[in-house]
Amino acid sequence: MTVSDPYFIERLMMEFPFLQQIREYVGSFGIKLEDFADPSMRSLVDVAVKRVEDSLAHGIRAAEESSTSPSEVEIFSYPLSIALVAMLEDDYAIRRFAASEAERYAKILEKIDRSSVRDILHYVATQVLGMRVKLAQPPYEFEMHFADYLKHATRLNEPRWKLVNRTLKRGYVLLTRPEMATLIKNALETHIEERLRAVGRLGVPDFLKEHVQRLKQLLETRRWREVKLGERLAPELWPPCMQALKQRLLAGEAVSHFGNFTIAAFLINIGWTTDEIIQMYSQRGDFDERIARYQVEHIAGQRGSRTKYTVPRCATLQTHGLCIENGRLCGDVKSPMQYYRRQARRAAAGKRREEPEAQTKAENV
Amino acid sequence: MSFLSQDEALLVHHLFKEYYRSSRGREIFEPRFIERREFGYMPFGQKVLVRHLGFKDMNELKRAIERITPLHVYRSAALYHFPTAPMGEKGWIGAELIFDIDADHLPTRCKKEHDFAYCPSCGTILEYGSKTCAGCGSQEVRKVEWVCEGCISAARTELLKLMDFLENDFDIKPEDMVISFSGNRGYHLAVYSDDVLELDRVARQEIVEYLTATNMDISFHGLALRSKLREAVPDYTDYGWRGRLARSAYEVLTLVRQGNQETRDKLLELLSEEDLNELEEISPLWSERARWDTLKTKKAARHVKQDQLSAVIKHAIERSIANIDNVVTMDVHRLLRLSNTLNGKTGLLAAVMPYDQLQEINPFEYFAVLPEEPTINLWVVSSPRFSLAGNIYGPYRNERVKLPAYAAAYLLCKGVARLAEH
Repeated sequence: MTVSDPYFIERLMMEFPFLQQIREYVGSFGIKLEDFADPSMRSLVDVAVKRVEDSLAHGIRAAEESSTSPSEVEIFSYPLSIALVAMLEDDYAIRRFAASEAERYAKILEKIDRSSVRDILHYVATQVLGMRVKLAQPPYEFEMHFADYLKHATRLNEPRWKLVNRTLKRGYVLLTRPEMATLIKNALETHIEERLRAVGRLGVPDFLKEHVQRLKQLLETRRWREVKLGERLAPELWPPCMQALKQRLLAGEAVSHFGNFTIAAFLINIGWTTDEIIQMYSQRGDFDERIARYQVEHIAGQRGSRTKYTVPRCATLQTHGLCIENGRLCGDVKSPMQYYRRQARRAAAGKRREEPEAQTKAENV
Repeated sequence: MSFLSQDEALLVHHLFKEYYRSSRGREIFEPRFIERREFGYMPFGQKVLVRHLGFKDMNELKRAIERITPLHVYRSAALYHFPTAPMGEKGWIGAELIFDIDADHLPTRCKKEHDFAYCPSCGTILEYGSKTCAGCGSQEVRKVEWVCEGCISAARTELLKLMDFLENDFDIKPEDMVISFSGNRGYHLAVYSDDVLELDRVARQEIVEYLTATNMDISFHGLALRSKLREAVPDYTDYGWRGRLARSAYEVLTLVRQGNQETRDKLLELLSEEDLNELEEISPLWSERARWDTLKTKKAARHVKQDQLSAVIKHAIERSIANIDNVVTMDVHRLLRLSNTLNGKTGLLAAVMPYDQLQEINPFEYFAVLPEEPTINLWVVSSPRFSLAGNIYGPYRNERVKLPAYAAAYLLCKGVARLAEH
């Protein structure tokens, strides 16, 4: 089976509803949002809602339960799923939906027989995602232009994805088949996210009000479980680099300008107030309140360009020599904030387990 | 600002103004999409950066440069929807991929010979890095970083390495690059092909790491230090870092065989004498292909840090990397010197270099573009020997000299001379 085979294209369309061709195909039927209000479309609406619900509730695990050969119902319901996510007006919903969809396609790609997967990966990369990809000779099967590669590979954390550890052949990065599949999954996720954001705001028609309401509630419970940064973690739970910076600051040791920026940005992002940060700095001998306040307020976005600065990523900290033991203590994270959020989740989960117990005790008294 | 007083600044300002009014002074480099760029400048007399400026075309820009006649002129590498808006509201479209190679960052030997400090109040010449004057105890010591032909040639070597990476590994075409002399101690290279325009900071950091072998794990290039070497070890004709590692290692071994002192010294920091001497015999074995298996992976002596294989690889990498200023390349909002304008630190032209003449052109000879007339009487505190426009001047120390305008401006900009009365 080759890419020019009409059957191949048709099957691909069925399995990848976001493909340009399928959009044209669905578009040719002239379906509008209002048409879904018709009782005959009920099953399509249900499928669309279920798809969004699953992705919000289970994230990428939703992909496990999805079928590999979607029916026409699933294809036609896809634009409605997109619309529903847009109606939630929530970035977290967008990211979660995109991640689970990308995972679903990755699963489908895994199940396609080996003889044609190379052509399909090539087709999806070049035609759907617009990447510059060439077929190559084993052990590498693909070559991807470095600019396209960098767009997606920088989200992957392992050393083997770093450009410096790849073979670069006249502007193209050599890739094995599994590597290509991983990059495509990442690129699909970005692609779906971009499409969702491009939809913009959508009014909720009456027939969907109830569904949207329910999805919003689901989203709230999910979010609550995800991150609760409201409660601050004790410094022992901070990422090692931040613990070290704080200790060096308190010990009066010299900390580079970048080090100062990093810890201040971190403290602001975990919810410290400017005054609290200045309080901490005031313990140093070389403290100058005027300068410290100016700088902290600048980083917090209360001055100057009014941009609230984000905490530098692990790679940047490594470049500046602030990373502790090359992240060995941190597990698989890309930024100190990711580490912090994970700790916050763990702390929250621990608390929830404790709470019911405490309540029972109180009742017994 | 490095002029010794307002008088010196005024004179140089005048020379700059005359230059920008002349026909050559109007050949300022035109960046693509000029109306999408932010411009900035540093005026004579004040240490401020005026930025967030925009110009709709080259004529408008040239008129402004002639009118203001700045000490330094800058333009953004980035393109913006609103170049004159505050930083957060400019609407970033993309940025050229820029590289700065500065002799100051390179470990040149000449630095020790020509960098110095001096005390403006009593004229005592001090060692570079001194904080107080040994003569009068003053705290106001001025640092002088000199740039010699050795510095520029070291920077040029790095530039050529960078270009080799860009052309061969990244397939960037010469016609998509602009290479300029910085006007002081190095070179700038800007890539403006569409491929690189949209790269974000993280992607640029990856490119920097590639060029500097930062975070490289050689096992991904077929080399392993502990386990047995795999079959597909890097060889000379391999692409990317694999080929670079093999070729560079062969060079290192050849240099060792030829008794090259610098190479031997470097390796001796890592190896025992015995291990190093053994390496002399190896390069002939490498003539056909890279025979990594001929390098020992066990240390000959306990006190040394590394084995032959690690030491050769380490030095091979060190020789291959391009020493660029990482921060400049990663900054997607960077202002960089506008090519074909005067550099206020030297009075030299930050000139665009023709791609095929990089090797031949000595910037000190070609880019001293200020006129010879008038000749200017100076009191020079201290200056090593230097060559400009094909003439040799100095060394001078606390003496009165008469110099052509371009050479006088050079010393005045560096803050090592003041105007002397007639």
